[in-house]
Amino acid sequence: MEILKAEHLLKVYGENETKVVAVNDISLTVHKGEFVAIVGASGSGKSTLLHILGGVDAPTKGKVLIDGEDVYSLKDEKRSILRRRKVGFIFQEYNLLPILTVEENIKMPLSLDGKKPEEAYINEIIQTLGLEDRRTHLPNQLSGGQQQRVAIGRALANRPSIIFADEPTGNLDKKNGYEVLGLLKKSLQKFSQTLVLITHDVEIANMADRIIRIEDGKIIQDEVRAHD
Amino acid sequence: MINERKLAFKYLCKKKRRSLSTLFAIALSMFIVFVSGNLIMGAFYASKQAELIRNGNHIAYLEEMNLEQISALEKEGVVLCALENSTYFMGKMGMEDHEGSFGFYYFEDFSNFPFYYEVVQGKTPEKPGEIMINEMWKYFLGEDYEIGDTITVQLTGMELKTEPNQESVVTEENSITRTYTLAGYYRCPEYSWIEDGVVMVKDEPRKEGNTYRVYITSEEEGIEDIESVEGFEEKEDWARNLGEKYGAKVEVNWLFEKSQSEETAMGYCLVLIFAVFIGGFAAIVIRNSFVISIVERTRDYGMLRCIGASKRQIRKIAFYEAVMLGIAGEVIGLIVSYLFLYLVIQIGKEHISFLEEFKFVQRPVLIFGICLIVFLVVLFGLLEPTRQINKLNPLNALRNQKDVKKEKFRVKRRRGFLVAKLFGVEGEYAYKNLMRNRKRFITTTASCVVGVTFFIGTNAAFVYSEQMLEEPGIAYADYNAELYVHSWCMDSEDSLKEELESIKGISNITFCYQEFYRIDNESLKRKEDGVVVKTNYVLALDEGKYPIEKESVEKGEIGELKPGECYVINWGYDDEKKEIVEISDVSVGDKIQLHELILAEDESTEKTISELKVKAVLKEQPFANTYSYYPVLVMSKEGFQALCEEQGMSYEEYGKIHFKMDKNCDTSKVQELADKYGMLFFDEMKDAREAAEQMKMARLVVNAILILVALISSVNLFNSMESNNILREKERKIMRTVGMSKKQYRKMILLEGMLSVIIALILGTALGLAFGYGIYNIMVLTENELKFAVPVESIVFAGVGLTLLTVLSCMGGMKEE
Repeated sequence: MEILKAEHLLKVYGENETKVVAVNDISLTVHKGEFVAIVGASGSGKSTLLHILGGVDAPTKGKVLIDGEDVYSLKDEKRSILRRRKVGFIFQEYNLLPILTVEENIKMPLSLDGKKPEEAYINEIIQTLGLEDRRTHLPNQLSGGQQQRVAIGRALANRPSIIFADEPTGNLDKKNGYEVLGLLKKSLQKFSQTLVLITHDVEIANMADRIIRIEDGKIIQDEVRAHD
Repeated sequence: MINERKLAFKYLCKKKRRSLSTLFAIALSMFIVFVSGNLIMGAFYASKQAELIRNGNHIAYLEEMNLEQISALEKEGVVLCALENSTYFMGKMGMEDHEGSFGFYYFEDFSNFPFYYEVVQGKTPEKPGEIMINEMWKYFLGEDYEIGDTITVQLTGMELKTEPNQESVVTEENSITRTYTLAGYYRCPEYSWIEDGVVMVKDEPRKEGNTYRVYITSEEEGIEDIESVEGFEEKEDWARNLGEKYGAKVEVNWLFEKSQSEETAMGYCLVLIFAVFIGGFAAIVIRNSFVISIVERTRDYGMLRCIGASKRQIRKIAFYEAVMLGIAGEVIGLIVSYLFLYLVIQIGKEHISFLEEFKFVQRPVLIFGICLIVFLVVLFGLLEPTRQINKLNPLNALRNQKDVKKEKFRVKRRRGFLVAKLFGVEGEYAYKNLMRNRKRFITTTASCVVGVTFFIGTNAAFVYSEQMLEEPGIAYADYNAELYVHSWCMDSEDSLKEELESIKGISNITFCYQEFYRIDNESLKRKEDGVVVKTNYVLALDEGKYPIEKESVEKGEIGELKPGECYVINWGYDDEKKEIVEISDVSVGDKIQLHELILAEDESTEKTISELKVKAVLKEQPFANTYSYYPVLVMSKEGFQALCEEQGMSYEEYGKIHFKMDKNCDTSKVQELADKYGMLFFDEMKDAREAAEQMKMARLVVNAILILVALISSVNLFNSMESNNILREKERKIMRTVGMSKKQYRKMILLEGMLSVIIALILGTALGLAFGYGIYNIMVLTENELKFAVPVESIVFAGVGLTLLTVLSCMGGMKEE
């Protein structure tokens, strides 16, 4: 089942001499439950692609369909609603709200939607991510790895159709990075989620079901991997 | 569950210092506007209330109403305050035949009397034929009259009615004598219509055929509080319709005329303008606070947008923050204002005459109106932040680098050589940092300049005004009070003087006598225009007791004055033909012909009396009189005594005591002494003291408002410094990494604030002095020799105050980082 479909995406920054084509005619499809890793060198356009796919940065041309809905044909308000309900984001710099506790940060997308959180589900997420004894802590009381685990929890809270992760382990040491990714993968399986992840790390990319390589804004390789 | 409200609250709690500073600005604005509004409307209603007391609480009166009409009025439910039948005539009252003009007011009933008065002795008339006399007359009637005595009144001289409904004409030949029972003495507030020379008589029951002036009101209990009066249009129309219906002439008490609605509205308009002015200031501060909050939370908002928060939701967070701060600020401001006003009124009443009649205005329109304005100001302060939220791009917000990019280009081109020379490298950096956002720098400096200009300008005007009040002849006169002495107490001159001397702060006690005479200028034989000086002040001094300085002698010599000799004070005055007449060309040895001063206008009845020989011509008036525009003749006590005897008068009747009271003198003790001896006490310093007190009060209020506005502005400065720190956090870290010490960093930040202040102080002082000089030039039109004074204290105060505020703001802004 197609969760994400991108058609002929083009993203151009600047004009004339300063013109930069960040994404150049990219089309791709992601199916439910897939774990897709996007890899490429710095400046290759992978973050831009992720932001376009996630509905936060409009492409110059092309369209993005999440769950069959054309994201950029929607007005800002509706696009916000779509993001909060169908998309989860995990950033390299965690981006937690410093004023909210761990639990409150996780529940945030639900709160924005005016939904009452399903406590059992939230507890399960917290448990899965190993944050039971950190529920009432503020982000500045957590380690980097713990903060990223909260960010994962937040991305899962609303049972989104797809999660986008922008180098989620980039700010973590190797041990913590793998631990976080392990938890992320475990969570995906447990909660049957789809993940599109950007990474530099080959080993992390190898954990994905599919690896898309990007160079100069173009897909140069789309490899489906078979895991034992 | 977390929602926008909770998020807003959490944000407010997170940044306690900023929240508190914004809360402080809102509460302070509320305080300034509410207290000022209350002072404006309080003074407005107090003056109206005082007028209500003076003018009576009736809405109108109907003239010439007969009994049938009065009865119909009562049946309509109209409340009749009083039925009056008044007359006014010249006459003599009392045993000693004291002559004067007085009005007789006949009233049916004193229970719902439409005018304010206090019974100082006895009671109000209760039976027909009882009379209540203004206490002013007590002095003339003397001690021989007691309550319950019969008082004889001889009516004469004017063609007016002498009792209710009597049409007879009373002339000199046709005088009427009536007797009344003295029921009591009353006192009225200043400027009241029944202040002087009026007696009030209990009238006989309503008589058939009589007509009355009927005072009416629509309220059962009468109107006691002008503030509670609403619907002036209806009240005036109501009274006029009644008049029309009964065919009677209506006179509406001006306090209840339609125009009063407009006056009240104007009062509120004034409050509104002031509120908008202060609100404008507050809005800038609040706006800056919110903008900084948004700058600070750009990343948070960006993340929220990424995970699906709509712009509306983000705006809502800012809105709820504003609402929470607004409500809390208003409540705090209101409570503090109430406490402040309560304390000021309670404590100040005893010390400041201005507050004696002050009313604490608690009208919903004022309270809710001001709350609404302040709340709108808070929302207005939210406009720019909301615009920024709308422009917020989630990705840029996450990267939080937009502002940094924008700044790069500007900084390159600006250098601060002069500042660098004066304040070193920190000064140079401070200057460059300020030039990054030139608009903000200019706005901050300009607001400081405006504040300093107003502060110094108004204080220069106040210093000058205070000097005017202390001008020689007003505040520093050798004599500034007088007691009109009775003949019976002149016998106890020594003990009176002793008692007066025992009162602290009294000096220069001098007994003298005075009366008015006419001087025929022709008798000087030096004026050819034949102008007759109508009235002249003849002053007799107990010789040797009034210290005439030799310097004040223009011609002749001072020394012992014999009967028939006098000094003439050189004094110009306006005569009837509006020409300036001077008797300065009087020579020593000239003779001045006096005429007896009588009330009749017919000059042929003037009696020529003694001549006086001029012994000396003086330059200045005795007793530092500044109010007399007549030439003054000075003679000895014996000379005056002889003059009075010649006319069959008793010289003791004209006795006066002049003396000087200093600032510490308790005037109530002098009044007690005056009451004891039945003397009239005139305190010439009273007006000057009141004026000085009002001036001090006005200066205090203006300065307090300017200082409070400066405090609101300091929140702005604090916010600016804090936002600078937040925006330049990375730069700060770099500077610290490459070797900038904490001290250097602090100096740089301090200089950023101080550069604005230094410029503002230089420009503001110059403009403020120019502004003050402008006011001086307008005021100097009234003749005086005072020079423009530079308000040094205010300049120092502005400098120290502004520096202190800046240092505190800079330090406060730095600390959190």
